[in-house]
Amino acid sequence: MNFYFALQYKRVKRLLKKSGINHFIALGIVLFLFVAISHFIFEKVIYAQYVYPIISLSLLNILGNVKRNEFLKNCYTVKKYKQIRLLENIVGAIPFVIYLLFKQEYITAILLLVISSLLSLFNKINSFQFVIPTPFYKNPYEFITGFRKTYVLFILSYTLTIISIYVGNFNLGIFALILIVLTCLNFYSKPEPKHLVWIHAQTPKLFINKKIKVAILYSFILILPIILSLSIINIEKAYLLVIFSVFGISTVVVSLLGKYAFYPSEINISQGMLISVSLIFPPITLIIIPILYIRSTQNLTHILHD
Amino acid sequence: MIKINSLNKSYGSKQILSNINLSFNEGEINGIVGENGAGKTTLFKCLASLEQYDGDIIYENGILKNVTGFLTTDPYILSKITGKEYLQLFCNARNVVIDNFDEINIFDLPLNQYADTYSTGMKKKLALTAILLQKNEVFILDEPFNGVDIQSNIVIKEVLLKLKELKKTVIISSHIFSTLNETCDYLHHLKNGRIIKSVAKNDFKSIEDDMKLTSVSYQIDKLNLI
Repeated sequence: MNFYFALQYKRVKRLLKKSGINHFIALGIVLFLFVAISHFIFEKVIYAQYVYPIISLSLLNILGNVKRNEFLKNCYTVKKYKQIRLLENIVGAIPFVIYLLFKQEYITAILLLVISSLLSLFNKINSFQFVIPTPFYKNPYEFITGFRKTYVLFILSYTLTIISIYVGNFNLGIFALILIVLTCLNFYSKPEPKHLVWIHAQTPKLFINKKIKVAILYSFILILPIILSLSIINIEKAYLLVIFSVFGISTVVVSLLGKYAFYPSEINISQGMLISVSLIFPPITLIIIPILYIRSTQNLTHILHD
Repeated sequence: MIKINSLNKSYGSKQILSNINLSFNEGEINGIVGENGAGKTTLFKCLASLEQYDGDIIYENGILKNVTGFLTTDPYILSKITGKEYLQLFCNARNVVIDNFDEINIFDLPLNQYADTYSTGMKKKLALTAILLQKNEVFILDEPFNGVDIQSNIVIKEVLLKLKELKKTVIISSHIFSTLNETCDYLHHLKNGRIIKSVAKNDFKSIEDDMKLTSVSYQIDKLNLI
Protein backbone atom coordinates (compact mmCIF):
# COMPACT_ATOMS: atom_id res chain seq x y z
CA MET A 1 0.00 0.00 0.00
CA ASN A 2 2.88 2.36 0.77
CA PHE A 3 4.18 1.67 -2.71
CA TYR A 4 0.83 2.71 -4.20
CA PHE A 5 0.81 6.08 -2.48
CA ALA A 6 4.51 6.65 -3.18
CA LEU A 7 3.76 5.94 -6.84
CA GLN A 8 0.88 8.45 -6.87
CA TYR A 9 3.21 11.06 -5.36
CA LYS A 10 5.80 10.30 -8.05
CA ARG A 11 3.16 10.59 -10.79
CA VAL A 12 2.07 14.01 -9.56
CA LYS A 13 5.70 15.13 -9.32
CA ARG A 14 6.38 13.95 -12.88
CA LEU A 15 3.28 15.74 -14.16
CA LEU A 16 4.34 18.96 -12.47
CA LYS A 17 7.89 18.59 -13.75
CA LYS A 18 6.53 18.16 -17.27
CA SER A 19 4.51 21.37 -16.83
CA GLY A 20 7.60 23.14 -15.53
CA ILE A 21 6.28 23.77 -12.02
CA ASN A 22 8.26 23.09 -8.86
CA HIS A 23 6.18 20.80 -6.65
CA PHE A 24 6.61 22.97 -3.56
CA ILE A 25 5.38 26.02 -5.48
CA ALA A 26 2.47 23.94 -6.85
CA LEU A 27 1.56 22.89 -3.30
CA GLY A 28 1.62 26.55 -2.24
CA ILE A 29 -0.61 27.58 -5.16
CA VAL A 30 -3.07 24.74 -4.50
CA LEU A 31 -3.27 25.62 -0.79
CA PHE A 32 -3.76 29.30 -1.56
CA LEU A 33 -6.49 28.60 -4.12
CA PHE A 34 -8.20 26.13 -1.79
CA VAL A 35 -8.35 28.65 1.05
CA ALA A 36 -9.36 31.50 -1.30
CA ILE A 37 -12.19 29.49 -2.90
CA SER A 38 -13.37 28.15 0.47
CA HIS A 39 -13.38 31.68 1.87
CA PHE A 40 -15.33 32.91 -1.17
CA ILE A 41 -17.94 30.16 -0.79
CA PHE A 42 -18.48 30.91 2.89
CA GLU A 43 -18.60 34.66 2.25
CA LYS A 44 -20.79 34.76 -0.83
CA VAL A 45 -22.82 31.59 -1.00
CA ILE A 46 -25.94 31.07 0.99
CA TYR A 47 -26.15 27.70 2.81
CA ALA A 48 -22.39 27.39 2.33
CA GLN A 49 -22.25 24.86 5.17
CA TYR A 50 -24.25 22.49 2.91
CA VAL A 51 -22.83 23.49 -0.47
CA TYR A 52 -19.24 23.09 0.76
CA PRO A 53 -19.45 19.39 1.80
CA ILE A 54 -21.39 18.63 -1.41
CA ILE A 55 -18.47 20.05 -3.43
CA SER A 56 -16.07 17.91 -1.41
CA LEU A 57 -18.12 14.74 -1.96
CA SER A 58 -18.48 15.49 -5.69
CA LEU A 59 -14.70 15.67 -5.98
CA LEU A 60 -14.26 12.44 -4.02
CA ASN A 61 -16.76 10.78 -6.32
CA ILE A 62 -14.13 11.03 -9.11
CA LEU A 63 -12.08 8.43 -7.21
CA GLY A 64 -14.97 6.00 -7.69
CA ASN A 65 -14.24 5.76 -11.42
CA VAL A 66 -15.15 2.22 -12.49
CA LYS A 67 -12.08 1.49 -14.65
CA ARG A 68 -9.69 2.84 -12.02
CA ASN A 69 -11.29 0.68 -9.36
CA GLU A 70 -11.27 -2.41 -11.56
CA PHE A 71 -7.55 -1.87 -12.04
CA LEU A 72 -6.99 -1.50 -8.29
CA LYS A 73 -9.04 -4.63 -7.60
CA ASN A 74 -6.89 -6.53 -10.07
CA CYS A 75 -3.69 -5.36 -8.40
CA TYR A 76 -4.54 -5.73 -4.73
CA THR A 77 -6.28 -8.11 -2.35
CA VAL A 78 -9.81 -7.17 -1.29
CA LYS A 79 -8.56 -5.99 2.11
CA LYS A 80 -5.74 -3.86 0.66
CA TYR A 81 -8.07 -2.41 -1.98
CA LYS A 82 -10.59 -1.31 0.65
CA GLN A 83 -7.81 0.20 2.77
CA ILE A 84 -6.52 2.19 -0.22
CA ARG A 85 -9.97 3.49 -1.11
CA LEU A 86 -10.70 4.45 2.50
CA LEU A 87 -7.38 6.21 2.95
CA GLU A 88 -7.72 8.07 -0.36
CA ASN A 89 -11.16 9.35 0.58
CA ILE A 90 -10.07 10.43 4.05
CA VAL A 91 -7.00 12.22 2.68
CA GLY A 92 -9.20 13.91 0.06
CA ALA A 93 -11.77 15.03 2.64
CA ILE A 94 -9.35 16.26 5.31
CA PRO A 95 -8.70 19.77 3.86
CA PHE A 96 -12.47 20.36 3.69
CA VAL A 97 -12.95 18.97 7.19
CA ILE A 98 -10.21 21.26 8.55
CA TYR A 99 -11.83 24.30 6.92
CA LEU A 100 -15.24 23.31 8.30
CA LEU A 101 -13.71 22.99 11.79
CA PHE A 102 -12.11 26.40 11.31
CA LYS A 103 -15.60 27.71 10.51
CA GLN A 104 -16.88 25.99 13.67
CA GLU A 105 -19.19 23.73 11.63
CA TYR A 106 -18.30 20.76 13.84
CA ILE A 107 -21.26 18.51 13.05
CA THR A 108 -20.93 19.08 9.29
CA ALA A 109 -17.20 18.33 9.54
CA ILE A 110 -17.79 15.03 11.34
CA LEU A 111 -20.58 14.08 8.94
CA LEU A 112 -18.37 14.87 5.95
CA LEU A 113 -15.63 12.62 7.31
CA VAL A 114 -18.08 9.77 7.95
CA ILE A 115 -19.82 10.07 4.56
CA SER A 116 -16.46 10.32 2.76
CA SER A 117 -15.34 7.11 4.46
CA LEU A 118 -18.59 5.37 3.53
CA LEU A 119 -18.29 6.64 -0.03
CA SER A 120 -15.12 4.56 -0.38
CA LEU A 121 -17.35 1.47 -0.36
CA PHE A 122 -19.15 2.58 -3.52
CA ASN A 123 -18.00 3.16 -7.05
CA LYS A 124 -19.65 5.30 -9.66
CA ILE A 125 -22.61 3.71 -11.32
CA ASN A 126 -21.50 2.34 -14.66
CA SER A 127 -23.43 4.44 -17.12
CA PHE A 128 -23.30 1.66 -19.73
CA GLN A 129 -27.00 1.84 -20.47
CA PHE A 130 -27.88 5.43 -19.78
CA VAL A 131 -26.67 8.08 -22.19
CA ILE A 132 -27.01 11.60 -20.79
CA PRO A 133 -28.75 13.66 -23.48
CA THR A 134 -27.13 16.92 -24.56
CA PRO A 135 -28.19 19.59 -27.06
CA PHE A 136 -24.66 19.60 -28.52
CA TYR A 137 -24.73 16.48 -30.74
CA LYS A 138 -24.28 18.43 -33.99
CA ASN A 139 -20.80 19.62 -33.05
CA PRO A 140 -18.79 17.00 -31.18
CA TYR A 141 -16.90 16.76 -29.01
CA GLU A 142 -15.78 19.09 -26.17
CA PHE A 143 -19.21 20.18 -24.94
CA ILE A 144 -20.74 16.72 -25.35
CA THR A 145 -18.10 14.90 -23.32
CA GLY A 146 -17.57 17.80 -20.93
CA PHE A 147 -21.26 18.19 -20.17
CA ARG A 148 -21.71 14.46 -19.53
CA LYS A 149 -18.71 14.32 -17.21
CA THR A 150 -19.74 17.36 -15.17
CA TYR A 151 -23.54 17.34 -15.35
CA VAL A 152 -23.72 17.36 -11.53
CA LEU A 153 -22.12 20.82 -11.53
CA PHE A 154 -24.79 22.07 -13.93
CA ILE A 155 -27.55 20.70 -11.72
CA LEU A 156 -25.83 22.43 -8.79
CA SER A 157 -25.49 25.73 -10.69
CA TYR A 158 -29.11 25.83 -11.77
CA THR A 159 -30.24 24.85 -8.26
CA LEU A 160 -28.16 27.69 -6.84
CA THR A 161 -29.79 30.05 -9.33
CA ILE A 162 -33.26 29.01 -8.16
CA ILE A 163 -32.19 29.45 -4.53
CA SER A 164 -30.69 32.87 -5.36
CA ILE A 165 -34.02 33.98 -6.82
CA TYR A 166 -35.97 32.50 -3.92
CA VAL A 167 -33.88 34.24 -1.25
CA GLY A 168 -33.22 37.37 -3.35
CA ASN A 169 -29.43 36.90 -3.36
CA PHE A 170 -28.21 38.17 -6.74
CA ASN A 171 -24.56 37.41 -5.92
CA LEU A 172 -25.38 33.75 -5.50
CA GLY A 173 -26.80 33.75 -9.03
CA ILE A 174 -23.61 35.36 -10.32
CA PHE A 175 -21.64 32.66 -8.50
CA ALA A 176 -23.72 30.01 -10.31
CA LEU A 177 -22.90 31.70 -13.63
CA ILE A 178 -19.18 31.76 -12.79
CA LEU A 179 -19.36 28.08 -11.81
CA ILE A 180 -20.69 27.22 -15.28
CA VAL A 181 -18.00 29.31 -16.97
CA LEU A 182 -15.29 27.58 -14.93
CA THR A 183 -16.76 24.20 -15.86
CA CYS A 184 -16.89 25.08 -19.56
CA LEU A 185 -13.32 26.33 -19.71
CA ASN A 186 -12.25 23.05 -18.17
CA PHE A 187 -13.66 21.26 -21.25
CA TYR A 188 -10.58 22.47 -23.11
CA SER A 189 -8.01 21.51 -20.51
CA LYS A 190 -7.00 18.20 -22.08
CA PRO A 191 -5.70 18.03 -25.65
CA GLU A 192 -7.23 15.40 -27.91
CA PRO A 193 -4.98 12.93 -29.78
CA LYS A 194 -3.34 14.35 -32.91
CA HIS A 195 -5.39 12.04 -35.12
CA LEU A 196 -8.63 13.79 -34.14
CA VAL A 197 -7.27 17.15 -35.29
CA TRP A 198 -5.61 15.64 -38.36
CA ILE A 199 -8.94 14.30 -39.73
CA HIS A 200 -10.13 17.86 -40.46
CA ALA A 201 -9.77 18.93 -44.08
CA GLN A 202 -9.67 22.57 -43.03
CA THR A 203 -7.08 25.30 -42.78
CA PRO A 204 -5.96 26.09 -39.22
CA LYS A 205 -7.92 29.36 -39.34
CA LEU A 206 -11.14 27.67 -40.40
CA PHE A 207 -10.63 24.95 -37.80
CA ILE A 208 -10.06 27.45 -34.98
CA ASN A 209 -12.87 29.78 -36.12
CA LYS A 210 -15.35 26.90 -36.07
CA LYS A 211 -14.17 25.84 -32.61
CA ILE A 212 -14.54 29.41 -31.30
CA LYS A 213 -18.03 29.70 -32.79
CA VAL A 214 -19.11 26.46 -31.11
CA ALA A 215 -17.51 27.44 -27.77
CA ILE A 216 -19.30 30.82 -27.72
CA LEU A 217 -22.66 29.40 -28.79
CA TYR A 218 -22.67 26.44 -26.43
CA SER A 219 -21.32 28.39 -23.42
CA PHE A 220 -24.07 30.91 -24.06
CA ILE A 221 -26.72 28.17 -24.21
CA LEU A 222 -25.54 26.86 -20.83
CA ILE A 223 -25.58 30.24 -19.08
CA LEU A 224 -28.74 31.46 -20.80
CA PRO A 225 -31.17 30.02 -18.20
CA ILE A 226 -29.26 31.91 -15.47
CA ILE A 227 -29.15 35.17 -17.45
CA LEU A 228 -32.86 35.02 -18.26
CA SER A 229 -34.10 34.08 -14.81
CA LEU A 230 -31.90 36.61 -12.99
CA SER A 231 -32.75 39.36 -15.51
CA ILE A 232 -36.45 38.90 -14.97
CA ILE A 233 -36.06 39.26 -11.21
CA ASN A 234 -33.38 41.99 -11.26
CA ILE A 235 -33.75 43.90 -14.51
CA GLU A 236 -31.82 46.87 -13.08
CA LYS A 237 -28.77 44.60 -12.59
CA ALA A 238 -29.01 42.98 -16.02
CA TYR A 239 -25.94 44.94 -17.17
CA LEU A 240 -23.89 43.01 -14.60
CA LEU A 241 -25.07 39.74 -16.11
CA VAL A 242 -24.05 40.94 -19.57
CA ILE A 243 -20.58 41.92 -18.30
CA PHE A 244 -20.07 38.61 -16.47
CA SER A 245 -21.36 36.63 -19.47
CA VAL A 246 -19.14 38.41 -22.00
CA PHE A 247 -16.01 38.07 -19.92
CA GLY A 248 -16.94 34.53 -18.87
CA ILE A 249 -17.33 33.37 -22.46
CA SER A 250 -14.11 35.21 -23.38
CA THR A 251 -12.31 33.16 -20.75
CA VAL A 252 -13.70 29.97 -22.29
CA VAL A 253 -12.28 31.14 -25.64
CA VAL A 254 -8.92 31.81 -23.93
CA SER A 255 -8.95 28.24 -22.62
CA LEU A 256 -9.75 26.88 -26.10
CA LEU A 257 -7.04 28.93 -27.79
CA GLY A 258 -4.61 28.06 -25.00
CA LYS A 259 -5.09 24.39 -25.78
CA TYR A 260 -4.29 24.76 -29.47
CA ALA A 261 -1.56 27.38 -28.97
CA PHE A 262 0.46 24.80 -27.04
CA TYR A 263 -0.97 21.71 -28.75
CA PRO A 264 -0.29 18.79 -28.47
CA SER A 265 1.25 19.44 -25.04
CA GLU A 266 -0.90 19.14 -21.94
CA ILE A 267 -1.82 22.29 -20.03
CA ASN A 268 1.40 23.97 -18.89
CA ILE A 269 2.31 26.78 -16.57
CA SER A 270 2.04 29.46 -19.30
CA GLN A 271 -1.44 28.32 -20.33
CA GLY A 272 -2.51 28.07 -16.69
CA MET A 273 -1.20 31.56 -16.00
CA LEU A 274 -3.03 33.03 -18.99
CA ILE A 275 -6.33 31.53 -17.88
CA SER A 276 -5.75 32.64 -14.27
CA VAL A 277 -4.92 36.20 -15.36
CA SER A 278 -8.04 36.23 -17.57
CA LEU A 279 -10.16 35.14 -14.64
CA ILE A 280 -8.67 37.67 -12.23
CA PHE A 281 -8.68 40.55 -14.70
CA PRO A 282 -11.12 39.66 -17.53
CA PRO A 283 -10.51 42.76 -19.74
CA ILE A 284 -7.05 41.35 -20.49
CA THR A 285 -8.74 38.69 -22.64
CA LEU A 286 -9.02 41.39 -25.31
CA ILE A 287 -5.22 41.27 -25.61
CA ILE A 288 -4.70 37.58 -24.87
CA ILE A 289 -7.23 36.26 -27.40
CA PRO A 290 -5.58 37.74 -30.54
CA ILE A 291 -2.13 36.61 -29.38
CA LEU A 292 -3.31 33.06 -28.71
CA TYR A 293 -5.31 33.00 -31.94
CA ILE A 294 -2.22 33.75 -34.02
CA ARG A 295 -0.15 31.24 -32.08
CA SER A 296 -2.82 28.51 -32.39
CA THR A 297 -3.19 28.88 -36.15
CA GLN A 298 0.59 28.83 -36.58
CA ASN A 299 0.92 25.84 -34.27
CA LEU A 300 -1.68 23.78 -36.12
CA THR A 301 -0.14 24.39 -39.55
CA HIS A 302 2.08 21.30 -39.30
CA ILE A 303 -0.93 19.07 -38.57
CA LEU A 304 -3.57 20.61 -40.82
CA HIS A 305 -1.16 21.53 -43.64
CA ASP A 306 -2.44 24.96 -44.63
CA MET B 1 -1.18 8.14 -57.73
CA ILE B 2 0.93 8.34 -54.59
CA LYS B 3 4.68 8.11 -55.01
CA ILE B 4 7.09 7.62 -52.14
CA ASN B 5 10.68 8.55 -52.94
CA SER B 6 13.61 7.78 -50.65
CA LEU B 7 11.60 8.00 -47.45
CA ASN B 8 13.62 7.79 -44.25
CA LYS B 9 12.42 8.06 -40.71
CA SER B 10 14.29 7.88 -37.45
CA TYR B 11 13.59 8.53 -33.80
CA GLY B 12 16.81 10.01 -32.47
CA SER B 13 19.57 7.63 -33.50
CA LYS B 14 17.16 4.75 -34.13
CA GLN B 15 16.43 4.32 -37.83
CA ILE B 16 12.85 3.10 -38.32
CA LEU B 17 12.42 3.38 -42.09
CA SER B 18 15.25 3.32 -44.64
CA ASN B 19 15.05 4.40 -48.23
CA ILE B 20 11.44 3.44 -48.92
CA ASN B 21 10.44 3.76 -52.57
CA LEU B 22 6.89 2.77 -53.42
CA SER B 23 4.02 3.87 -55.59
CA PHE B 24 0.31 3.28 -55.11
CA ASN B 25 -2.13 3.64 -57.99
CA GLU B 26 -5.83 4.42 -57.97
CA GLY B 27 -8.05 1.36 -58.11
CA GLU B 28 -5.38 -0.85 -56.56
CA ILE B 29 -5.09 -2.44 -53.16
CA ASN B 30 -1.57 -2.58 -51.81
CA GLY B 31 -0.71 -4.73 -48.82
CA ILE B 32 2.20 -4.05 -46.49
CA VAL B 33 3.35 -7.08 -44.54
CA GLY B 34 6.05 -7.51 -41.96
CA GLU B 35 6.75 -8.63 -38.42
CA ASN B 36 5.70 -6.54 -35.43
CA GLY B 37 8.04 -3.58 -35.20
CA ALA B 38 9.04 -3.75 -38.88
CA GLY B 39 7.86 -0.14 -39.35
CA LYS B 40 4.43 -0.60 -40.95
CA THR B 41 2.57 1.78 -38.64
CA THR B 42 5.36 4.37 -38.87
CA LEU B 43 5.19 4.16 -42.66
CA PHE B 44 1.43 4.72 -42.51
CA LYS B 45 1.85 7.67 -40.16
CA CYS B 46 4.41 9.21 -42.53
CA LEU B 47 2.00 8.70 -45.44
CA ALA B 48 -0.71 10.43 -43.44
CA SER B 49 1.74 13.21 -42.48
CA LEU B 50 1.19 12.43 -38.83
CA GLU B 51 4.96 11.97 -38.53
CA GLN B 52 7.72 14.07 -39.99
CA TYR B 53 10.12 12.30 -42.33
CA ASP B 54 12.93 12.78 -44.80
CA GLY B 55 12.23 12.16 -48.47
CA ASP B 56 9.21 12.82 -50.66
CA ILE B 57 5.62 11.69 -50.74
CA ILE B 58 4.05 12.98 -53.93
CA TYR B 59 0.30 13.10 -54.48
CA GLU B 60 -0.93 14.63 -57.68
CA ASN B 61 -4.49 15.49 -56.71
CA GLY B 62 -4.03 18.07 -53.95
CA ILE B 63 -3.32 17.75 -50.24
CA LEU B 64 -3.08 14.02 -49.49
CA LYS B 65 -4.20 14.21 -45.85
CA ASN B 66 -7.43 15.99 -46.79
CA VAL B 67 -8.59 13.00 -48.83
CA THR B 68 -7.14 10.24 -46.69
CA GLY B 69 -8.96 8.02 -44.25
CA PHE B 70 -6.60 6.43 -41.75
CA LEU B 71 -7.81 3.49 -39.69
CA THR B 72 -5.34 3.01 -36.87
CA THR B 73 -4.65 -0.38 -35.29
CA ASP B 74 -6.28 0.64 -32.04
CA PRO B 75 -8.71 3.49 -32.80
CA TYR B 76 -8.89 6.14 -30.10
CA ILE B 77 -12.43 6.57 -28.85
CA LEU B 78 -13.29 9.60 -26.75
CA SER B 79 -15.05 8.85 -23.50
CA LYS B 80 -18.72 9.76 -23.02
CA ILE B 81 -19.41 10.03 -26.73
CA THR B 82 -21.92 7.85 -28.55
CA GLY B 83 -21.20 5.98 -31.77
CA LYS B 84 -23.43 8.39 -33.65
CA GLU B 85 -21.58 11.43 -32.25
CA TYR B 86 -18.24 9.85 -33.19
CA LEU B 87 -19.46 9.50 -36.78
CA GLN B 88 -20.76 13.08 -36.68
CA LEU B 89 -17.31 14.30 -35.59
CA PHE B 90 -15.66 12.60 -38.57
CA CYS B 91 -18.34 13.87 -40.99
CA ASN B 92 -18.02 17.44 -39.70
CA ALA B 93 -14.28 17.21 -40.28
CA ARG B 94 -14.92 16.82 -44.01
CA ASN B 95 -18.17 18.82 -44.30
CA VAL B 96 -20.12 15.66 -45.09
CA VAL B 97 -23.81 15.83 -44.20
CA ILE B 98 -25.55 12.62 -43.15
CA ASP B 99 -29.19 12.89 -42.15
CA ASN B 100 -29.70 9.42 -40.80
CA PHE B 101 -26.77 7.48 -39.42
CA ASP B 102 -28.91 4.41 -38.81
CA GLU B 103 -29.27 3.94 -42.57
CA ILE B 104 -25.51 3.66 -43.11
CA ASN B 105 -24.88 1.44 -40.08
CA ILE B 106 -23.47 -1.48 -42.11
CA PHE B 107 -22.03 -3.26 -39.07
CA ASP B 108 -25.23 -2.95 -36.98
CA LEU B 109 -23.45 -1.07 -34.23
CA PRO B 110 -25.39 0.26 -31.22
CA LEU B 111 -24.86 3.86 -32.33
CA ASN B 112 -26.82 5.41 -29.47
CA GLN B 113 -24.59 3.76 -26.86
CA TYR B 114 -21.32 5.23 -25.52
CA ALA B 115 -18.61 4.14 -27.96
CA ASP B 116 -16.03 3.64 -25.21
CA THR B 117 -18.13 0.73 -23.96
CA TYR B 118 -17.76 -1.03 -27.34
CA SER B 119 -15.59 -4.12 -27.70
CA THR B 120 -12.29 -3.87 -29.60
CA GLY B 121 -13.88 -5.16 -32.79
CA MET B 122 -16.86 -2.80 -32.52
CA LYS B 123 -14.54 0.18 -32.03
CA LYS B 124 -12.66 -0.82 -35.17
CA LYS B 125 -15.88 -1.18 -37.14
CA LEU B 126 -17.04 2.24 -35.92
CA ALA B 127 -13.75 3.85 -36.92
CA LEU B 128 -13.90 2.17 -40.32
CA THR B 129 -17.48 3.36 -40.87
CA ALA B 130 -16.35 6.90 -39.95
CA ILE B 131 -13.61 7.07 -42.59
CA LEU B 132 -15.87 5.46 -45.19
CA LEU B 133 -18.49 8.16 -44.59
CA GLN B 134 -15.87 10.86 -45.17
CA LYS B 135 -15.82 9.97 -48.88
CA ASN B 136 -12.04 9.74 -48.97
CA GLU B 137 -9.96 8.99 -52.05
CA VAL B 138 -7.18 7.21 -50.19
CA PHE B 139 -7.59 4.63 -47.43
CA ILE B 140 -4.81 3.56 -45.10
CA LEU B 141 -5.99 0.63 -43.04
CA ASP B 142 -3.70 -0.64 -40.31
CA GLU B 143 -4.77 -4.17 -39.39
CA PRO B 144 -8.44 -3.73 -40.32
CA PHE B 145 -9.27 -7.40 -39.71
CA ASN B 146 -7.79 -7.66 -36.20
CA GLY B 147 -10.28 -8.25 -33.41
CA VAL B 148 -13.23 -8.22 -35.81
CA ASP B 149 -15.71 -11.11 -36.02
CA ILE B 150 -15.95 -13.41 -39.05
CA GLN B 151 -19.13 -11.83 -40.46
CA SER B 152 -17.61 -8.36 -40.27
CA ASN B 153 -14.39 -9.66 -41.84
CA ILE B 154 -16.48 -10.69 -44.83
CA VAL B 155 -18.11 -7.25 -44.93
CA ILE B 156 -14.69 -5.53 -44.73
CA LYS B 157 -13.39 -7.67 -47.62
CA GLU B 158 -16.42 -6.66 -49.67
CA VAL B 159 -15.88 -3.00 -48.75
CA LEU B 160 -12.27 -3.22 -49.91
CA LEU B 161 -13.30 -4.69 -53.26
CA LYS B 162 -15.94 -1.96 -53.63
CA LEU B 163 -13.33 0.72 -52.95
CA LYS B 164 -11.13 -0.83 -55.62
CA GLU B 165 -14.05 -0.77 -58.04
CA LEU B 166 -14.59 2.92 -57.20
CA LYS B 167 -10.93 3.59 -58.16
CA LYS B 168 -9.88 4.48 -54.64
CA THR B 169 -6.31 3.95 -53.48
CA VAL B 170 -6.14 1.43 -50.65
CA ILE B 171 -3.12 0.54 -48.56
CA ILE B 172 -3.56 -2.08 -45.85
CA SER B 173 -1.49 -4.07 -43.43
CA SER B 174 -2.52 -7.41 -42.07
CA HIS B 175 -1.07 -10.57 -40.58
CA ILE B 176 -3.81 -12.68 -42.10
CA PHE B 177 -2.49 -13.84 -45.45
CA SER B 178 -5.79 -15.30 -46.62
CA THR B 179 -7.45 -11.87 -46.50
CA LEU B 180 -4.52 -10.27 -48.29
CA ASN B 181 -4.68 -12.96 -50.97
CA GLU B 182 -8.31 -12.24 -51.60
CA THR B 183 -8.08 -8.46 -51.68
CA CYS B 184 -4.61 -7.16 -52.58
CA ASP B 185 -3.15 -6.52 -56.01
CA TYR B 186 0.39 -6.05 -54.71
CA LEU B 187 2.24 -7.03 -51.56
CA HIS B 188 5.28 -5.28 -50.12
CA HIS B 189 7.40 -7.01 -47.51
CA LEU B 190 8.77 -4.59 -44.94
CA LYS B 191 11.60 -5.86 -42.79
CA ASN B 192 13.67 -3.84 -40.34
CA GLY B 193 12.42 -0.64 -41.95
CA ARG B 194 13.27 -1.64 -45.53
CA ILE B 195 11.11 -2.93 -48.36
CA ILE B 196 12.85 -6.20 -49.19
CA LYS B 197 10.37 -7.52 -51.71
CA SER B 198 7.41 -6.22 -53.74
CA VAL B 199 5.34 -8.74 -55.66
CA ALA B 200 2.17 -8.94 -57.75
CA LYS B 201 -0.70 -11.30 -56.94
CA ASN B 202 0.84 -14.41 -58.53
CA ASP B 203 3.88 -14.28 -56.26
CA PHE B 204 2.20 -13.63 -52.90
CA LYS B 205 3.18 -17.11 -51.76
CA SER B 206 6.86 -16.26 -52.01
CA ILE B 207 6.46 -13.55 -49.36
CA GLU B 208 4.37 -15.83 -47.17
CA ASP B 209 7.06 -18.52 -47.41
CA ASP B 210 9.82 -16.02 -46.64
CA MET B 211 7.99 -14.80 -43.56
CA LYS B 212 7.26 -18.31 -42.33
CA LEU B 213 10.83 -19.37 -42.82
CA THR B 214 12.52 -16.43 -41.13
CA SER B 215 9.95 -15.54 -38.51
CA VAL B 216 8.35 -18.77 -37.41
CA SER B 217 10.68 -21.76 -37.76
CA TYR B 218 13.78 -19.92 -36.68
CA GLN B 219 12.14 -18.29 -33.66
CA ILE B 220 10.47 -21.47 -32.45
CA ASP B 221 13.79 -23.33 -32.69
CA LYS B 222 15.23 -20.79 -30.25
CA LEU B 223 12.89 -22.11 -27.55
CA ASN B 224 14.52 -25.58 -27.69
CA LEU B 225 11.18 -27.21 -27.10
CA ILE B 226 11.43 -30.93 -26.30
